[in-house]
Amino acid sequence: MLAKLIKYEFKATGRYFLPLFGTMLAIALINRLFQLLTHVTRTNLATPQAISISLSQMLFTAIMAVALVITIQRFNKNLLQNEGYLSFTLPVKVEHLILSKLLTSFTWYIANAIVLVISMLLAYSINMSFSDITNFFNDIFNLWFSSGESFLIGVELIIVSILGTFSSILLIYTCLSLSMLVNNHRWLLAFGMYFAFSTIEQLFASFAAVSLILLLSDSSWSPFAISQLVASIGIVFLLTRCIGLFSLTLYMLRRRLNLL
Amino acid sequence: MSILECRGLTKNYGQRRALNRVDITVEPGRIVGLLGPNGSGKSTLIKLCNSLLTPTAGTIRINGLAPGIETKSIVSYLPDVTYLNNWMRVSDLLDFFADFYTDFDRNKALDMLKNLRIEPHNTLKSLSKGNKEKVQLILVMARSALLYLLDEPIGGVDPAARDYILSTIIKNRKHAASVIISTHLIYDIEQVLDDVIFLKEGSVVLAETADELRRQCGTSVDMYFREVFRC
Repeated sequence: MLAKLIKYEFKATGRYFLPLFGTMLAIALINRLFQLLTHVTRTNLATPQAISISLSQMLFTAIMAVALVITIQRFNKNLLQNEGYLSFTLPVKVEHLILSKLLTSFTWYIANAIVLVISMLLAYSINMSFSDITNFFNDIFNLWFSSGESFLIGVELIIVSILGTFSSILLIYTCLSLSMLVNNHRWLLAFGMYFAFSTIEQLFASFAAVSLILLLSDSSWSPFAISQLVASIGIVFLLTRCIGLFSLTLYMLRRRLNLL
Repeated sequence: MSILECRGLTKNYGQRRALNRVDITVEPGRIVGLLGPNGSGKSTLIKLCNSLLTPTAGTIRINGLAPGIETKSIVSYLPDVTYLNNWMRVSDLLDFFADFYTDFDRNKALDMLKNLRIEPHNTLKSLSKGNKEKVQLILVMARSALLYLLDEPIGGVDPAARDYILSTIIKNRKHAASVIISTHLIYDIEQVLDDVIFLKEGSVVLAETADELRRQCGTSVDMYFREVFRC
């Protein structure tokens, strides 16, 4: 059933993202065309080129904003408003309802990043050959696999990025779910909680970072050992945060459901 | 085994008590009118049966099971709000229901859509409010469920369509399936009811077969309702 839920999540969200991705790639191609014309004809196309670059930057910002809005809207409309009457009467587990939205949002965030990289390569690789591009990626991989230490750091960076994205999405879900505790001004409560939670967490993280620096400044630990300690703390913190936020959202949807 | 059994069912919203120690038993194959004025607890009771709310006290058993995934497979629920995605086509909704409910009969749904002159390729956005409600009812009634929980199924549709909808409800259920219809438009549904339950301020004030009620009171269920709930 989770796979079916994910299928319908992609259907519901893809109609926003796919046209945006298409436009982004089309503008990147136009950028490339301007660069080619400038290169071949030696004419000055600075103005149209500037417009095209600005457009692609605006579009990228728009895609990021759309991703955030859709993350909020899909959860809110599909689970906490009228559509919830259907979602919560489907013969599926509540955790699957949350997971389907989480995994779909996460996938779109990854797709955003990939489309951005492709757009930049399309637009600005005019003086690069295909082998230059493959060499660039080869260099990154070679660096990653050059030693056990660099491999471990690379894996930890990927884990932290994944957990960080999940926990950011889950924080939105938790705040929206907690807003069901009131019948009026739900948006206000959700934003207030998001702001309060983020602020407290930032303060806590800053305090923890300063304490750690002071603690380790006089130690004889190697830079790699310190990086492993920081990465371990980060991964454990993010994992705990994900589990905590997911559990709280699940509790609210199971036990305190209050559809408008 | 009863298809629905509520014992001591109580639901509080903060300080306000919406349902007060409700005891209800619904046997298989019955069509039950859940009747009461606005705010009497009808929708709350139906939401509790669909696990859209958690009871403050008491128990619910649907075909012997507590509300959960298993009961959602055998309960077909029509809420009193439009819950469909506006961007979807009617045909997409048929696919959606067929994907999630193994008891959904696509051909039956297409047949009903044709009778009500609703095109499957139309998007929900292009349909009127009444037609959206009809689509919702068709989706719910095209399932071969054991228990249908219909919250105000005829409230938003024109009188001409009401007869079709009521006959749809009667014709499309399995012999052993029960239907609970919550409404205050009693005159329109009285003809199809086997049993009636009157709810007043969250409590059951009457639970009787429709025939027995008519015999005892010498009047229609609709007239008796007006007497009981006179303002």
